[in-house]
Amino acid sequence: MNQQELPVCWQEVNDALVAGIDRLILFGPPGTGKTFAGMSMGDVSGGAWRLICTDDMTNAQVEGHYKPSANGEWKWNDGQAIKAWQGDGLRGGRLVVDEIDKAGGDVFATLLAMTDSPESASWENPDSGRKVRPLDGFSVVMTTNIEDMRELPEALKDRFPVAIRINQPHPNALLKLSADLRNYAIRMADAGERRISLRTFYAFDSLRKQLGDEKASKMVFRDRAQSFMDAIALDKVGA
Amino acid sequence: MTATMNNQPMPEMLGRRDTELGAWVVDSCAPVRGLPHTNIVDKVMVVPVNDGETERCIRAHEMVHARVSPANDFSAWIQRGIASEIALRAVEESRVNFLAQKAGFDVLTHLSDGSELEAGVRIAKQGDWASAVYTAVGFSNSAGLKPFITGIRRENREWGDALRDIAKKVEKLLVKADKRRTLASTAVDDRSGLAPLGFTHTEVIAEMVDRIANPPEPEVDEDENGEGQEGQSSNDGGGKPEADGEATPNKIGKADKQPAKPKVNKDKLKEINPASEGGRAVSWAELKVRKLPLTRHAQGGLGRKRRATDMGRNPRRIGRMLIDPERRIFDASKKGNGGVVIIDGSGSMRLSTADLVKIMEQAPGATVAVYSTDSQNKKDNLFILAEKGRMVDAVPERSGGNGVDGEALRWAIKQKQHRNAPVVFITDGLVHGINHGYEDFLAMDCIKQVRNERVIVRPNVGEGIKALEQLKAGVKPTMWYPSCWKQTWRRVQGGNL
Repeated sequence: MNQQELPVCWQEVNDALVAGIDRLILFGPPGTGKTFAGMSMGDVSGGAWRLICTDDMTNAQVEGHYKPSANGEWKWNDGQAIKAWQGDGLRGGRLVVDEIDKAGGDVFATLLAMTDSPESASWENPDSGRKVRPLDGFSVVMTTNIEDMRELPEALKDRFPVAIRINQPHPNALLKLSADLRNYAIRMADAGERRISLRTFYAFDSLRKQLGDEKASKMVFRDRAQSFMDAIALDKVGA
Repeated sequence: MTATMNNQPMPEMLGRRDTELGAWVVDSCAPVRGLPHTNIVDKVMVVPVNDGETERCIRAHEMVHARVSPANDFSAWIQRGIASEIALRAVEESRVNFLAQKAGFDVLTHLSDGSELEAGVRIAKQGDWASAVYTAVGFSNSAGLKPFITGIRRENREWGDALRDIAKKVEKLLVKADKRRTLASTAVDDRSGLAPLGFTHTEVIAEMVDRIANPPEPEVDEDENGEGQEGQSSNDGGGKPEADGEATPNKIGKADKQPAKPKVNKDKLKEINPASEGGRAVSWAELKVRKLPLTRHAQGGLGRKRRATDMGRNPRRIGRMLIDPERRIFDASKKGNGGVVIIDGSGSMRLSTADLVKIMEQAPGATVAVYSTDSQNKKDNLFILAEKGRMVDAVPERSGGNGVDGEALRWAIKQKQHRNAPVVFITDGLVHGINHGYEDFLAMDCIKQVRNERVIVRPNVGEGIKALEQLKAGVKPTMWYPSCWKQTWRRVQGGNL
């Protein structure tokens, strides 16, 4: 995709990563490709690891945990953050933390430590006793659906000064959709309570090839099917 | 009340080239005329959300508004002064219904709330022809037209037939406009910045509807009292005739109890046409007024002039009792003519500096201005040469194009010092905007202003000076129109100007 054709929000992400920003928050409506961008945009040559925050998530997923092996021994498994710190062994990787606003207090505190500046970040492996530090190139992208950045804790905002609102699907993600639906997917990504995610459009697109527009819209949109089909018909009057 | 998700329209799905994307607020209302509405700027839509074909058609109607109607720029369209707001809104309803029908919604069967018949009866009883025309046009392309016409016919059969023909004419024009493939365009016009481009079709039809709703009254020369003015006699002893578009409703006479005739009959309707095809925003360039240093004193002037007379109540000049054989000891005041002279300074007029000086000298006390535009309209295009008894020393260079004729005339009319101050327009009539030739659409703008304000048009400086001399002598000059304007009038309005 030609970079000049990128929508403003995606161009900003690109610019931030090219400029060497390694702590980034992407926020906005779901289904616009924030995680996809975190996992793939910029320098991810050291690999990319993903964490999805929930209320009952523990530090085990962040730092690591012991797990019984087949022969009954307890074996240490690094968490996603530690894996990202070490990357491919030569260069640090990318840690993508989804739904950061849903992380509990303990996990949040651990994540703050893990995403601190390389000079401050340090962790001791409980199994080997080895001190681990993030390798050069380690970067973090956090994503959230909240719209008001003031809802995020100050400590996090301080570590992640660049926050970009993503209100449109990434053009590469749109390419998977039939051409006649792409504009609708762009417009509905940020449509408030009537928002339709890209994933929903994928499902509709796939179903309609087998069942036709009407039946597919009923299956996907249910009681909103008629409004959806009417809107498409009315939009075409200007085509 | 916020509508439930069920049946909520999705205006966010609609694409426009002249507005930003974003979430809308959708509220619900009853399916009654006047309640559903769409605000494109604030992204608010109020529609009925119940099941039912009427409700669905109303939602479709509002969705088409959201898709194609002017957003921020509606006031700009009104301010252009080409068509009245009521005509623009009526034709826009028809355009929207046409497009909803084209999208597959049966608005011809379902878009009606049952109030139309009563509205027809009421309007016919009032005998308000203009309201009847605008309402019929607003109901065209919908199920509301038929009962409205029925209501009209109950009171006035001829009006009913005429209004049906008018509505059909508008419907046919929209079908024709749709073939140009710009009827629903939301593009922004490069030159004027106006949007959406599809609304140009609404505007040209609305301009025509205005002429049908308020047909121009035959011109009557008033004021002439036979003092050497080609034997014409006075009608009403002065006063401005009623302007076009402001005619009193064609009231049904109580005395004879006969229903009033339609102001535009079937034959006349055939002659009336839009002045343009639409699909592009034909417009005047922006008027850029420059007031030059008015260093010279011009003889004569505005304001009250006192003179001695032998009649009056207050003998302010008592000394004249002894010295004046006619004993003119009283004061009489006479107002200066004032007036405005606006001069087309384009190349086709071949004006010389001497011509302009002559005009300024013949119009003491008047505001005199000349206009001319360069091809990009970068420079000032209207120069005030004389005002309030003072005039310029040197006449400025002019660029040679027209570009702003209608706007310059509008400006000149605004400069009138009092209601009856004369406006003289010196032009050959070859008016046009920037980068296009003579257009009936813009010529009609000038013609309507001239007719409404009784502007005196003259083709050249010599004739202009004669008219000014007549005005100075208290004689009202006759109305005259350039031949190209007469042809325009014949094409779009039928008959002679």
